[in-house]
Amino acid sequence: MHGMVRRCVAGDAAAWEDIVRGMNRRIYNICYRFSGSATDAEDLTQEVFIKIYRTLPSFNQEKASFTTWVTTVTRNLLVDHFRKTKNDRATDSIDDRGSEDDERQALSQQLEDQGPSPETHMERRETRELVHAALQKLSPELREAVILRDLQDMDYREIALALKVPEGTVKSRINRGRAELARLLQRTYKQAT
Amino acid sequence: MNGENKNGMQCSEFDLLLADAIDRQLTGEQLSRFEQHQQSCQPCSAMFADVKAGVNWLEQVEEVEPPRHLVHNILVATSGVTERVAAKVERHERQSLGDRLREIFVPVFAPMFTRRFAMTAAGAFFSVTLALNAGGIKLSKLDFSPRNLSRTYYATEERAMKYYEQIGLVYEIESRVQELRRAAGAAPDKDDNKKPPKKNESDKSQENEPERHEQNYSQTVNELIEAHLDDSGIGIIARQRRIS
Repeated sequence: MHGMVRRCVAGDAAAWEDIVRGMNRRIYNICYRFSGSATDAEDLTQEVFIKIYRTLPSFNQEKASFTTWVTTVTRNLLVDHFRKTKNDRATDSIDDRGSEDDERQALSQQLEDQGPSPETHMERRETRELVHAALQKLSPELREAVILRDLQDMDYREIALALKVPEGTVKSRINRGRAELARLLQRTYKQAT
Repeated sequence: MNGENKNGMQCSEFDLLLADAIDRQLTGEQLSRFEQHQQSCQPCSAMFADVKAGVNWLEQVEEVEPPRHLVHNILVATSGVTERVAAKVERHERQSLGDRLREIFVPVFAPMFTRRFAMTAAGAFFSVTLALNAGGIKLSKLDFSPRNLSRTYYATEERAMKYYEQIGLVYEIESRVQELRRAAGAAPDKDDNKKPPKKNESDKSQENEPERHEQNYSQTVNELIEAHLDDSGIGIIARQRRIS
């Protein structure tokens, strides 16, 4: 990756294309899980790469890996976007997604049914959507920590560098995010039953 | 969490070790103390259960696939790679061989998939089939080597010419027969067996001028038909021609 970065800084268009192809999936998923919207994720991903393209000469591989540096750029853009769109967001994103009863029912079914089910695929899809919606209800600090650890498999040190906080803070935020997520989903289940 | 000290561990320490415990990184005495605190401290135990449940929920979330045009849009917005080139590269990478072939050949053969073309092709096919049947050519028995193809061609040509000539011969024979019939109808002398004995001068004049009879096709002839019986009882028809 560092070799590609060097070639890209030297003006190699093919190297830049390789970087884009190698990183776009990861960055898109971070943006999608943080923003909650595929449309926003697409726009944000493009902005991230535009930022990276312009600031690539400033990358210092001695300070952090290229992945960590890209994650930092992504996270900063996401926070800026979050602040700009704060007033535009609905307060309860789960309620806007359709019938609450349907979601609760799907969740209760998922929790009650211990064995294999013909609707397993559909239930899993619904579960993923519920978890995705619950993520949007977390605060940005907890949400980004959970996304980077549990969805992007970054280690605590890299996350600490990307978020510019101590490692202990990272672990604390991650645990609180996980616990809050579980309580949100369990609350939905209890309301359904 | 409060700062309670249970089993030699404070809740704050428990909170710090919680992530490592979830990741199964704790070992030995540290793990033992952690588990003992978990069992004895209700808030920490509930926290541990919630964190574990959260991890289980998040494990069901999968990575999503970015839009297909995303890379292309990024390249256009950054390095300024032309849309056609970038899209072409991305299309080639993501497309199967069938899709690429379809992209090449569909525009070329698209006009052939219209109804009009199909009807024309069907009509041409039936015409060729009929012509081959008429020419006696059977595709199943054809040998497509160049030598046999040329032999088949010349044989077919010969048959066609013969057929044509035979048709001409038939026409010619028919026209000859018609001429002969006209000639037979215009010349009564030729029918000797049926002629009566000549009794009047008009008959004699007709006998002496057989050629004139043949030459009088175009003239209007008023014939008086006279019938009488000879000695043998055979009816004889005598025609007295009066040329006008």
